[in-house]
This record gives sequence, C-alpha cells and structure tokens, in this order.
Amino acid sequence: MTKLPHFVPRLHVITGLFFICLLVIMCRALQLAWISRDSFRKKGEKIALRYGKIPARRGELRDKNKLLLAWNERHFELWSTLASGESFSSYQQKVLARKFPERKFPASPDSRTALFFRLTPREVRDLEPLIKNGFPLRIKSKVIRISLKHPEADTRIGEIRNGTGISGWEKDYNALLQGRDGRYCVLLDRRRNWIPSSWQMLEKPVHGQNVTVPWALNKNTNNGRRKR
Amino acid sequence: MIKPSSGLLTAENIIPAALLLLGLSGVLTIASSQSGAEQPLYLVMRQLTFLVFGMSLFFILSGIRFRTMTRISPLLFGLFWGLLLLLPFFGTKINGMRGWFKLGSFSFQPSEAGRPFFLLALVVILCAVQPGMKRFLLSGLLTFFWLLPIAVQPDFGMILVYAVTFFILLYLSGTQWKYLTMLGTGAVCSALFVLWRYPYVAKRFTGFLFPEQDPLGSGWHIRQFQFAVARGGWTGSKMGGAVWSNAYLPYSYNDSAGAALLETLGLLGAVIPLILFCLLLLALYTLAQKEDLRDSAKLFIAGTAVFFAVQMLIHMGINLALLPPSGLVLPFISYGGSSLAGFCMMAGMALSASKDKQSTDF
Repeated sequence: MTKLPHFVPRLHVITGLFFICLLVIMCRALQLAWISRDSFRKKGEKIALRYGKIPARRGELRDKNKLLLAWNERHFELWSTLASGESFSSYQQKVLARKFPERKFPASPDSRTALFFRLTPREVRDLEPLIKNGFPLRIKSKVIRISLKHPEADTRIGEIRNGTGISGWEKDYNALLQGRDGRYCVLLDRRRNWIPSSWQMLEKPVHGQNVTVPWALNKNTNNGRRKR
Repeated sequence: MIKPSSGLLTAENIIPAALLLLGLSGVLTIASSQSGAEQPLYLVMRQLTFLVFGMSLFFILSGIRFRTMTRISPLLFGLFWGLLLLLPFFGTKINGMRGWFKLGSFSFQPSEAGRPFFLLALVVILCAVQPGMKRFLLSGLLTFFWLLPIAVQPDFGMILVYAVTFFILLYLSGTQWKYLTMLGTGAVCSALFVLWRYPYVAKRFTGFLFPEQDPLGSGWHIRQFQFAVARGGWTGSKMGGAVWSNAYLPYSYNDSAGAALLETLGLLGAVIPLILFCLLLLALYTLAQKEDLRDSAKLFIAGTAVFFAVQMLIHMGINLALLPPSGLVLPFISYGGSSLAGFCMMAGMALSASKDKQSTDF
C-alpha cells in the first residue's frame, strides 16, 4: 500500500504555487528594471555619482618686455585627517619626528587648518608611503597665484579672490585671464573612493590666455615675488 | 512536456545539461562582479574547479543505486549531523556566523553540503511510517535536531529554506491538514521568538519595510538590490561595467548573485538561466510522476525540486527587495563549493532515484 496517498494532485498544487511565485518575481524584476527604472537609477546615482570641477589655468601677466608679473604655481600642503580630539599615536609621532626633523608636528592637530604649507618634492615623496600605511595625513595640492613684488607693479597688477580678479590688471583682463572651468563626473564606491573606469569628462576646461600689458617695469628697481 | 526516458530531450539528459549551463552562467556572473577586484580571476577559477568537482559528484551519485543510498542514509545523516554539532567548537566564524570548517585555503559548510543526506533521511522516514501522529513526530524531530546546530551558528536564512521544504514534503507525503496547521502555528511562534530574541533580525525587517528611514544602515542592502537591478535594465551592463556588483552589492558573487546577474545580463539575458532553471525543475517534476517508481524515489525527486525551487525563490525574493535580506546563495549560480557540491549531489541522487523501480529487487 502506498504511503503517499495524494502525491500527484498535491505535486500539481505545489507546481502551481511555484509558477505563481515565479510570476510575482518576474513582475517585480520588470518593475525595477523597466517600469520604475529611471526613478531607481536616479536615486542610485545620487549616492554614487560625484560631479567635480576641473579648474581652468589662469593666464600669465607679462609686461611689454615679456617679464613675468603674475603667474601660477602648484604647491603641496599637508593636512591631518584626525577627528577633533584625536591625536597621533606615540609611534606615529616618533616616525614623523625622525623623518622630518625640521618640521614640528603638533600632537593633536586641528583638521581644519593645514599642518604645513609648501612641502618640498622630497617631503612629498617621503610622506606618501606613510599615508599608504595608514598615517592620518593627507597631501592636498593647490594652485597658487604668484605675483611680482615690486613697489611700481604691486598696485597695477592687482589681486584675485576665488579665481576672479578684483583689482588692477587682474580685474581689467579678467575675462581673458580666467578661462572657463571644466566638469567631470565619477562613480564612488561604498568607501567613497573613485571607481577609475567610471570617470567621465563632461566639459573640457578652457584655460585662460596669457596677457601682455602695455607697460614696462623699471628693471633697476629691486624685485621679488609674493604669494596671493 | 519532457519525456522521462526516450529521445534526446529526456529528463535524464536535460538535468546534467541544465546543471552545467547554470553553473557556467554562475561563473560568468562571478567574473562580472569581480572585474574590478585586485585578482579578478581568483574566484572565477575556483568556481570552475568547484563546478568540475560538483559535476563529477553528480555523475558518480547518479550511477549508485538509490536503494544502496537509502540503506546507508542513517550513516550519512549522522556523519553530517556530527559535523554540524562540531561547528561551535571547531568552526570558523565568517560574517558573524560559525558555519564553516577551514581546510587550508578552502572552507566547507556542512549545512549546505549535507542537504541531500537530510532529505534522504527525511524521505526514508516519511515513506517507512504510515501517515499519522507517529510519522509527523518522527519527521519533525529529525528536522528539529538537524536545524538545532544551524540555529546555533546562527543561519536563519538556511533554517527558512529547510523549514519550508520540510513543510512542503509533509504536504506532498499526504500528511493531514491538522498536523500541517500545528506545524504552521509552531513556525509562526518560532519566527516571533527569533524576532524578539535577535534584535538584528528585527532591524532587517524594519530596514526592509522602510528602507528610506535608514538608507545608510538597515535599509542599505535593500536599496542596493533595487539600484543594481535598475542599472541592468533590459540588456545589462557591458562586461566589466557592472558598477553596483563591483562596488555596492554586498557579496555580489554569493548572497547577491541574483541582483548581480540581473545587472550583468539585464532582464533579457537573465531569461536564459531562468529557462534553464525551469527546465531542470520540469525534468524533476516529470521524473517524480513516473508511475513505476517507489514512493521514496518519487518523494526524493520531488524534494530535490522543492529544495531548488524554494532556495531560488527566496534568494530572488531577497535580491528583488521582496523579502528582508538574508545570506542565501542562488543554486548553481552563486560562488561556493559546498553549496554547488550539495546541489549537484542532490541532482545526481534524484537521477539515481528515477531508476529505482518498484519491481526491482533489493
């Protein structure tokens, strides 16, 4: 005598239930991948997409004799990534003191201000392996506008703020000097690191033009350079 | 309709072909989800090895007489139950779950690999005892003792698959409704106890119901599943472009393989493994209805199909944000040697069971 009295009809019921569940799953897949796709894509990209600016290089200012009056220089600054209240471990302090004897590292640095400006190429090279090994430090690169320090030129050259000339020739020739910033977008992973293959240029930067002003500096006067 | 044993398109031919093609779809999904990894081919090569191993087990077990296997079923069940009992003492903890033995560079999960032997022992009891209280109690105790060490790990996703399969097998074996109602009530009470006892499980439920409330915490997984499937669309991402599988989906090669598959292949591409899966189930369904088979063979074949279908439905339900997140693999597709071996062994034993006719002598 069989011990499975209703096997076949019950098997049909289970098969029917399976196909109903499968239908629900297929409908849901259709909803996510087709019907509501745009809405979910936008929500996802809000988390993962990052838009950024590619700064346009500001043009150089020269006098009639082609002497540089204002130009750009890339500088490297050192920042700490420690949260407020945290400090370097004693091991980290020892390593930093040994590697950079001429710099004084504060034990509890303020993460809102740079620890050091104008790192030398050698310092950048020495810091990189430490950062890779988890030292709470970060090197930021920054393009700085430098202008000639000269009593006759100072006021004429003028100043810039947030990349825009606000006085002197920097203001007068701003339209030519400034250029137009580019834009990029990139996908970030869960740890907010860039996913390299996803980087896309949205708009190329248009660099500023070099400008020669109709004026010549008296070469006999002592000149230097200053940072802005 | 698939014919049990004539021509080329027979259930006996379809099962190994479907297993192999599903396994290869899994390898493709893993390759896509690992394209951004430091060693993109590491898991791919291992999964290919597991697939070869699993298919070998399938062919070996399909050649062994089913009656021989039923005779030694208590031994096989005991062996794997013993391994489950040893896990709390010698097991390795991965993702908060002590469910693996570490053997060199390989991990072995007894609850996955031991699945066919649990099914075999359960089928033997269900077919040896007349329907009634005694059979209900015996099969219930067997399942309870099997699930107890799995609850200690704890692996509630796996318990859910076993519990649903047990319920359906009881139903298929002709158990009266009063026993099924008792079992259902017990299951609901146990689920409520788990929700009360383990706050992280309750948190997964709230994250599932209201993912927007805690998008970076409990709602994180649910949202990533949705975004991955949406990104795949109809045609999927180009090879190496499955961003969500590479960066956001948790364990995209394993617990999130369904969403990774949909992101990689898209809806149209995912139809192929779905058809293969349906063909596999249809082949088992056809075999289970062969009139000349013994009851235990019929029930084992049906149980195999139920295990495959339940795990596939729950996994896809989770990966399409229809169910709360839980760590469950997608049969034959997800990375993992233990699960692949367990499923292949079950399929091989089912094929062997399909030759176990009533007239055959012991």
